[in-house]
Amino acid sequence: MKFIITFFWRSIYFYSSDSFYLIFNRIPFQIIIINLMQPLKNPFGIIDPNENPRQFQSNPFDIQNEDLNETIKLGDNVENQEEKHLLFDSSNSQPQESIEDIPLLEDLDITSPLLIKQRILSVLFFQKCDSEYLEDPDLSGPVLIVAALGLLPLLTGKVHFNYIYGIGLWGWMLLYLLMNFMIQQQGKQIEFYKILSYLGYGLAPIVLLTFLSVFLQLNSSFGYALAIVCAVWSTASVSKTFDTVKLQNNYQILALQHRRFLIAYPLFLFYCTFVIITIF
Amino acid sequence: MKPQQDTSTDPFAFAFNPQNIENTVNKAKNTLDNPFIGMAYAGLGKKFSGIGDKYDSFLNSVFSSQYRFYFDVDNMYVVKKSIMTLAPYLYRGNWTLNSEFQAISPTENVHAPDLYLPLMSLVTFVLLRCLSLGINDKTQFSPGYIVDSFWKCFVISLLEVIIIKIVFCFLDGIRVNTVDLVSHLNYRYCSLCALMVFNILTNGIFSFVGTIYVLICQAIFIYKTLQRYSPSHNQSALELSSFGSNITLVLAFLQPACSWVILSFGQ
Repeated sequence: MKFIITFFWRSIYFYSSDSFYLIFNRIPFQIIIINLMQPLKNPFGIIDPNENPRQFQSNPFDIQNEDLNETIKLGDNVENQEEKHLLFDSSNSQPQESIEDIPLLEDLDITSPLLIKQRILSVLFFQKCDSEYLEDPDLSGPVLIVAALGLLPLLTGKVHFNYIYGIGLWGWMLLYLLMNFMIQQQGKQIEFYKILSYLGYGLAPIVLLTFLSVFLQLNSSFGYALAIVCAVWSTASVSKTFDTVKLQNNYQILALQHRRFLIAYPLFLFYCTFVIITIF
Repeated sequence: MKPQQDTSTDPFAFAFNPQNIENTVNKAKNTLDNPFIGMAYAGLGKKFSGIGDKYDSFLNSVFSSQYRFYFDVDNMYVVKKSIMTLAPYLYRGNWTLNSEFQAISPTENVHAPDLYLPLMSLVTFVLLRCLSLGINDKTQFSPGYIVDSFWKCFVISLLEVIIIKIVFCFLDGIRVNTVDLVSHLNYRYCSLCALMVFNILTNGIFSFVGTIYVLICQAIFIYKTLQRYSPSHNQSALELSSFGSNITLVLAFLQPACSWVILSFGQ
């Protein structure tokens, strides 16, 4: 009797585990499943009278044409038949270009992941960023940062994707209007997407704040101090780029030094909204 | 030969059929080789290339127009104006501009309207409200509160502008620039921000006294700014109605009423 009861309780424990569904890998279950899924093979009931049963190929790299009853063997349609032996001989690899080893990403001319990492680090540590950042800023870095900013609060139970999107959009548009109105020089403007990329890269310190919010309770005096530090950090880095931005085709530095605090304050407010969302 | 699937019964007949691709590719090649169609596409291309220049020139005209004077602010101007909103009795005399029909930059004249300070103080006020709610009662805060606060402030400001514009239109058809009016009426967010900071730090009787003081200061500020538009100042009015000259006094109480509504709504 005791054995029956223990068996009952143990089976319930098994039914609630994650490995319960592995019993469907067994052969009798597979037979049942395959037989039940037979109607789904030809849902529209199209019958081909000339269809032959498939012949299994000996070499999977061969191309088998059942209609013409021919097979194209591996290496038959290679342009340069002299190098046909290379298909079967793996010991003859491509010769090395030179003594130095070129990294794979540079060999493939993929430099954007490295650039993104450089730009994020330049924002975080107030280093000089590459000159292309001011002329041709990219949006892939901000996309990654915003994705991290949206995904990290999920670990604390907050779903803030719509608020990040809305605040980012409205802040972007208002800051674009504000910055361009405050430049009192005719014929010069900051472009729309440049502001977006600068603002996006400036969100990097706030990603650190959200990362800390997963582990710490930021609704305390320490959290408030940390939040203010992160907001000031972001505004300092972004206002630095605004001071030295190059406008369209005119390579002149904006004369905004006397208004630096007035330009930094809207940026500070923009980053404070994100900070408030993460803290509370 | 494999029979094709009958299109009359095949529900996916619109799908790409690789057996007939040559027809479509050859048709496309023949159209592109045709010189007349090439000329037509070139004309369309010229049309599209002109749109970029128009966009650039439009943006230049927008950002170089008279509205840029509303953002031509200085550090000293911001400081002086914020002191004016908190203690308007310090600035005695008439608050008039030398020429009312020309755009004046705020750096030259402290009494000129600007849009930078009202906008920034509005956003600061919304953030401070969220901060006070988060500090006092964390469970009630949600990021939607930011949006709610902003919309309430926006709606009340809009109603205020509409009311005052209508009242001014009834009085001898006084014409006021709407953007000027918007800037004048939204300086109260600057004093409300200071009030929110004060309320976060203190409570009880101090916050009550602070609100009363701020509301009185807002009334004085509006009275003095709207005086320059009242008929008693305009020499062109033939009949000086006593009602018209006192209307600014009545309108001055509209501002603290709206501020009180903003402070009491929500939470």
